[in-house]
Amino acid sequence: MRNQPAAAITSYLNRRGFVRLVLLVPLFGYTLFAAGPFLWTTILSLRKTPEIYQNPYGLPTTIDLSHYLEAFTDFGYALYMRNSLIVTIGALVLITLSASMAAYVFARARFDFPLREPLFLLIFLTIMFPPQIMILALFQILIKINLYNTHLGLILVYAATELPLAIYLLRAFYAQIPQDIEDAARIDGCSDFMLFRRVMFPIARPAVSTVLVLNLIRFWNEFLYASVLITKKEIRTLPLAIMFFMGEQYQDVGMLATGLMISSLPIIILYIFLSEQFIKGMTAGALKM
Amino acid sequence: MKLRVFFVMLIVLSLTFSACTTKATETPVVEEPPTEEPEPAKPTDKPVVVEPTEVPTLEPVTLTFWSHWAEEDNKKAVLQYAIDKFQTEHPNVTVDVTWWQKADMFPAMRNAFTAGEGFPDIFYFDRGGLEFIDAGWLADLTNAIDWSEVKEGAILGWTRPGPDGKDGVWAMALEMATDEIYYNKAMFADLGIDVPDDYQFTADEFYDICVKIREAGIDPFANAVGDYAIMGHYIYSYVLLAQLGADDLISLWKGEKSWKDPEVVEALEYIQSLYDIPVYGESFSTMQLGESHVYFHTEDGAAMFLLGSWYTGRAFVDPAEGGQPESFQLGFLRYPAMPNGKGNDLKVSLVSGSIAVAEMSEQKDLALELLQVMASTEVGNKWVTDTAVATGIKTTEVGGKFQWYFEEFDKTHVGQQYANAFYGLIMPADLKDAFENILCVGLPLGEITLEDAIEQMEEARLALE
Amino acid sequence: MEIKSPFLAKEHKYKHAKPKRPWRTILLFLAPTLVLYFGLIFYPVVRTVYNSFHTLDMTRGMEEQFVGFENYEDLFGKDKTFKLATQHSLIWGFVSPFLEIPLALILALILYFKVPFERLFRIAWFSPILLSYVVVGIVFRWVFNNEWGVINTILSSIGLDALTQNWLGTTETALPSLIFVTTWMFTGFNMVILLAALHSLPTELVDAARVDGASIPRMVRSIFVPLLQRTIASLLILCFIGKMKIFDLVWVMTKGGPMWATETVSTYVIKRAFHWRTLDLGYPSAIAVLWFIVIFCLSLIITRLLRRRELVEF
Repeated sequence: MRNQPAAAITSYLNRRGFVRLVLLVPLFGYTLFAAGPFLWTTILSLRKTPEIYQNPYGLPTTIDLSHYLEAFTDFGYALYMRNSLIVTIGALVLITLSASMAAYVFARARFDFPLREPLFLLIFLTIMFPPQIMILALFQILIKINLYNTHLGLILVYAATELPLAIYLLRAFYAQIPQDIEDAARIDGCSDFMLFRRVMFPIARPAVSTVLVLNLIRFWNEFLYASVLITKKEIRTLPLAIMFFMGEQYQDVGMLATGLMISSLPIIILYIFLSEQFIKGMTAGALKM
Repeated sequence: MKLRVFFVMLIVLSLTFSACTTKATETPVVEEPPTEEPEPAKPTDKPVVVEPTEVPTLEPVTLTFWSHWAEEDNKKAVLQYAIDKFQTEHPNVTVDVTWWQKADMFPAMRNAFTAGEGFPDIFYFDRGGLEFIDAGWLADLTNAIDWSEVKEGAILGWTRPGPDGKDGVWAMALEMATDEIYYNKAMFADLGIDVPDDYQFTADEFYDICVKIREAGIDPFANAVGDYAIMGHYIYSYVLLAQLGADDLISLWKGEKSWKDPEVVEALEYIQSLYDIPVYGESFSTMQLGESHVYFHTEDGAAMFLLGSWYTGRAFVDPAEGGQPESFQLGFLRYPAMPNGKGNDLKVSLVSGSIAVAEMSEQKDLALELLQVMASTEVGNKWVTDTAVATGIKTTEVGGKFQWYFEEFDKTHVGQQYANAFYGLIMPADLKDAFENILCVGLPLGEITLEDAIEQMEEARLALE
Repeated sequence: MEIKSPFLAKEHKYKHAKPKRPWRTILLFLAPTLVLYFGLIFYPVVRTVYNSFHTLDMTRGMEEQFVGFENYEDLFGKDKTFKLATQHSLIWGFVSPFLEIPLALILALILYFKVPFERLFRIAWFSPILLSYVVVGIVFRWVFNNEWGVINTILSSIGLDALTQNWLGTTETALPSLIFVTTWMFTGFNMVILLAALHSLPTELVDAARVDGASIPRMVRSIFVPLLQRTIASLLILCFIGKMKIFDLVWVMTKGGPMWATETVSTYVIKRAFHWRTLDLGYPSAIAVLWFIVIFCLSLIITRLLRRRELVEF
């Protein structure tokens, strides 16, 4: 919900139209700063490498999509993308469901049990864990349970590592839902599960959006765990693809730029179409921080 | 509502890509290696191929092959040639190749072997992974293939005790590299620098030519440590080798000899004087290995390039792909001679890029057969002709279009002795980290004084137990 | 936060005075979380602590050998790289909030006050966070490139040739360059959250202040910042913790060089675990445990400081 900024402010500024115009210059400057690097990469991916070395900042003379074709046919980008999709979607589903259910139990008074607070705190503290503290042991564990080098293994690891923050965000949201709603539903004869599924979970949609968006970005781009826990070619995800790509294209900046674009494009495209959702999703649930 | 659209889009995308991936998992496109040999290899003794036991039905099998050399097209082509040959003999086997940079490959292999799964059946190996042998991850090749077409030196280079203490042969040396100073002949001519008849400058003369090159606004050395700190080691290894001789150098590397020893200090002071010129370029700390090749042979940014003879892997390819231009005149120099040096005629040679087989592989027999195909004179000839790097395999013809290269090489190194003193194999891990960071990177950058550097190296040495 | 509802009046569905705890629901709903958490987070951490008291030989199927506190002793006493790495991580963690959050606040206020092209700005300013560290790392390697990078090109073209240098290759400028990159990435993210917080503020306050004749800077100081304290505090902690954990960016851009100038604890742990010749997992485990303790203590201190001003509630 966005309020209008106070009328007082707006009128104050309207009387200083000139100030506002001058202000636009640094704003565009910052926009160039924020979006510039990626735009530059896009342009690089559409040019031929020799051209790029002559003039790194020129515009493409012809739009050259050959790099993109090469990436898909020669380097198997399609495979990597598929793996990333599987892992990301799987992890998103898993974390959203688990975290919502747990947050619901942590938030509502009805579910209070001894040690509930300490348990929540314990889970929450793991936000501070650097991935390195877990990766060595995770490596051992996944081997033992035979999930090393599998999609499922990676999905479980991704979901587990982002659980604490997700539960924290969702719990804050669930906690401030008025008791009446819950009571009304239960009076109508809802079982707990139905109550959750039909009433509570939909109400938490803003916070769920936050969790989805934050984790979508995180899982799609995740590199460290993927590089340690996956070695088989068929399972590799997109961030690893960039690593291989770099290895082969040491001088071919155009090709490299293409590789970067392909990895980033899915999220960027989603963002362009759904930017409102992204930003709203980020903030709605996060406001309760 | 929009969330649902979002999910549907994701699902549709994943289905589309599942369909596409069938293409990606097929055998990679077979590249026709550029062949310019005037005549085919003369047939010698045919290698004895280990016959596989007859399998009644030939089920499709996949053999996983991991190799370094992702950016060295000519070497990839030779390997691909061997793979193709193998596959025609074994139509049911698909060889799944992944090309890596070895800095990324070794950790991944280490993890995979520890995990016991996801490791390659046959792979690139070099002496940077000796602990793998101790771990028992490599198959002992002593009696596993026919070595009749491999040189004695190459077999010896890979003979060492295995996990149970017994000697074994652990890899097949496809590549045997030596360390060189390459230089730009045209540039030297322009600057009026004359190379001595024995290709070796004295330390003072070498210093003088570096000053001359620098005054002309050119970098004396093209080396850069953007991705491999090891590129900064050559000047140390060879000045110290010339100064100390092989045995003393080895004891320095091991941490037995002090870094404050007067002979060592004298050598380091000489190196410092080179850094003061300076001999490295401005981008020394960030330029990457591949880039420095181009800097040297295409951009004429530097006069000399100190590195292993695997230079040709990147340089002897089509100029359009980053290889050296047709007009580039490549020359060899010996490393400078130190006054009163004990090792002025020494050179380090080692087995470098080799192929090994995983002990735990489920397709060990097939992997060994592929290795056998590689360990043949045919492949050896092709290697030498197409990559211009020495090989451990016996060859019947040397040169082809790189004949001039081998002739130059031979002329330059007449009378030199080989020593086995590469720091990377001898230095303990902690000392190696200090050596690379402080001496190979820090000192040339001017980030530390020579006295401090020696202090810190000495500290690191004493901290070893 | 917590709404403790009186458990009498509304629960007339139950016959007893005390409502039964719905254990089945509780366990069912908590089950996936508990399994994931204890299996893949809690146990690994405990395992890592355990490992830190051993040497773990990766070669022989993880053979272990108890060494007591030896790893920790070596870490404290002899490991200079660890000290450097810690310093760098701490600098990063403490400096970043002071860069990111004020800038984010300024941007958020600007957007709050209705400028033209607001939507375009919001979309553009937020976008850096969408890219992976690897992508950002590679692109900024090009930006900082000594020969043809953006920064040096701009500097030469406006005549500041003297300032051009090898940003990532000089020890003094390497870490600041990396901090520059993370600031670039996260400012937009912080801004978006602050903007939403601004929008949720009651407008009567601002109108009242205006009527009283307050100038904009005054309003910012007295109204906006105080009211946004909670959000700012949370962002501060998240920012700090996030920078302690960074790995991918450093790895792609400098791998900890030159001469350890950008070595962070995360890169050091990975190097010792997977790139050292001694195939030992025990020592890096000790590093990881020690590091976690450091982060934990610092976070606790910061939280205490902020909590005393009633800014953060858990």
